[in-house]
Amino acid sequence: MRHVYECSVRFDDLDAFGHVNNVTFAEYLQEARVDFAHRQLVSSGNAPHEGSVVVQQSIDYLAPVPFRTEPLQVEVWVTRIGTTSFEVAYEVKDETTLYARATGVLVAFDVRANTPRPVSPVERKILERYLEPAS
Amino acid sequence: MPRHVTQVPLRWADMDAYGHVNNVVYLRYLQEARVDMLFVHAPKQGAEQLAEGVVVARHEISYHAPLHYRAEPVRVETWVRRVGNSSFELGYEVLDVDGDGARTVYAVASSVLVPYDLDDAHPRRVAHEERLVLETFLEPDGPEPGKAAA
Repeated sequence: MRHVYECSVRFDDLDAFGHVNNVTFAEYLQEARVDFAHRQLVSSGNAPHEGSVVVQQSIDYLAPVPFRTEPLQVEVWVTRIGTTSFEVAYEVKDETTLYARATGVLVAFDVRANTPRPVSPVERKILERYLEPAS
Repeated sequence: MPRHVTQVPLRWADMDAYGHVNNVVYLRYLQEARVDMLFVHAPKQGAEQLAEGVVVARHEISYHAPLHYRAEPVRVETWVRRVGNSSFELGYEVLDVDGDGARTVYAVASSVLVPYDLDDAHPRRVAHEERLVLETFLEPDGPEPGKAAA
């Protein structure tokens, strides 16, 4: 199963080349990931200090995004769950076009103690629901 | 071969709710370094066309240590990993170098870039003079972003 985030494009996401800037795609991925975490993890009993940090990321840019008023869909799903880390994959798309594919490695992080922590049983259960092979 | 060095100032708002520079902002620092190298430095060496259109086809980045706001800029070193016919690849390190030359690396990254004709909305080949300028920064065996989890 994939989490789908409806992502609006803002006018100032575009750069001097008239398309959404490459850095902004990473913001879209982050919004999708945070939306997933807030809706699925925090609402299921994970404490707010039980966060995660990004340790690795890759993005393949497949098509430019010009300004649009219709939101993009950012799909995020889980490709691996380890002891203290997990991996996610993303697609940025609309009904007709795949604009970007991405992957990320995240480490479960105790924000209060400022240290990595194991993936909690609650998290693992939810992450497993979104487990799918990378596309 | 020398690396292109850019001192990138931090902004206070580069930090997120975790109190460190957000992962997305590192890509912005890479962009500042890349623009300085390709759109400011390279045209002065004879590769004027680069400033007219280069698009990013891929980024890969590993985050090694957190960055916190400070008044001093952070150093971004950029080099060329490969020059192909219609694309080239950059490598980057985001780091501090202290007075003794000791390096603290915050991130290692790479990008695949495609020269692009914006009028025709079409990729184009790497021009001869661009290749000459890019090759002055060639370092095929520089550090690469790792794939393993920390």
